[in-house]
Amino acid sequence: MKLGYKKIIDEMSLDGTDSNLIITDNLDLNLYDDITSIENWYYHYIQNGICSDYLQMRDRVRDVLDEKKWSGCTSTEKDIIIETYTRETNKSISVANTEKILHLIYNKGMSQANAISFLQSSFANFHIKEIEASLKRAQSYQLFKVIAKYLTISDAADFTRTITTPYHLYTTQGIRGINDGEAGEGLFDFIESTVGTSYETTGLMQQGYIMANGDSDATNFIIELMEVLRKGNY
Amino acid sequence: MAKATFTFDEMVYNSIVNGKQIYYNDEIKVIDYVKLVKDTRQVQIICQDGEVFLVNQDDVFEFEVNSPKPMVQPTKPKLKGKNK
Repeated sequence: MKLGYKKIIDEMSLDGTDSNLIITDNLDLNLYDDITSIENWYYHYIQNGICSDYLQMRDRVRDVLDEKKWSGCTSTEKDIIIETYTRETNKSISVANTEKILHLIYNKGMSQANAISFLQSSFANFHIKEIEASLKRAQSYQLFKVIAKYLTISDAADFTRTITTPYHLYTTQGIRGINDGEAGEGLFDFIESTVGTSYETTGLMQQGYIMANGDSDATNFIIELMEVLRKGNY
Repeated sequence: MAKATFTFDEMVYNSIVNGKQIYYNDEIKVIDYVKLVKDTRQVQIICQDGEVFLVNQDDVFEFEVNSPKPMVQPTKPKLKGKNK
């Protein structure tokens, strides 16, 4: 995903508001300057709310980080990476944490003990925002609209009762699933019947719900649920 | 003998349900064993004929039994436990 800012063609091009910001996969460089960066995703999210929630902004930051790598990031970008508790997708937690601690020691002048404590505080602050975003997604108009599209009320009630505990863990602790964080199995694994989890043969697809829109199975239902829950498009 | 993984609850359940007959709609199925689904109230029932289906533990189902044991109206007030 790219972040663009409208090119200054003349004095009339900008209307004084940040509506000239655009988020798109296909940025027209004739019309927009590509301002995609860790800093711009972070600061424009805070100032202009350009992402749906904190977790979506974090995803954007991680996308840039995966391209630049930690070693290619500036000190300010590394601060943002620490604050948003993110790391390169294919980097282990221990390696990422070591890099972060070394950054805090050598670039921020912290002692090792203070750096570890800072990392823990950063996680705690991030976790609060993670939970807020998870709850927003779980109680969003768009999620309920998707459920209404694919399930009868009777099946929706059955679905709700079946996922009571994973849903509770998602909305109160941000526990999502084995492919979305480090907290083990979660709601996403049930919805996607994730291979290798408890829900591989007992997840949403295996419930056998008749799709209210006429679909032959729950494939599209699952895709649209995850658009909201994983991608934050709501 | 073979090595297999179960939770303790599954061990208890399986000692009871093995060989019990459950109605799947109007068809009698003989239960081979069950698996409990983590963090849900779901049970996966594996039948002796190879059929497999899910149920919710808290729902009511029909079984083939010697004597029915339904819920009935109480004949005395609720008995309170002894708080220590």
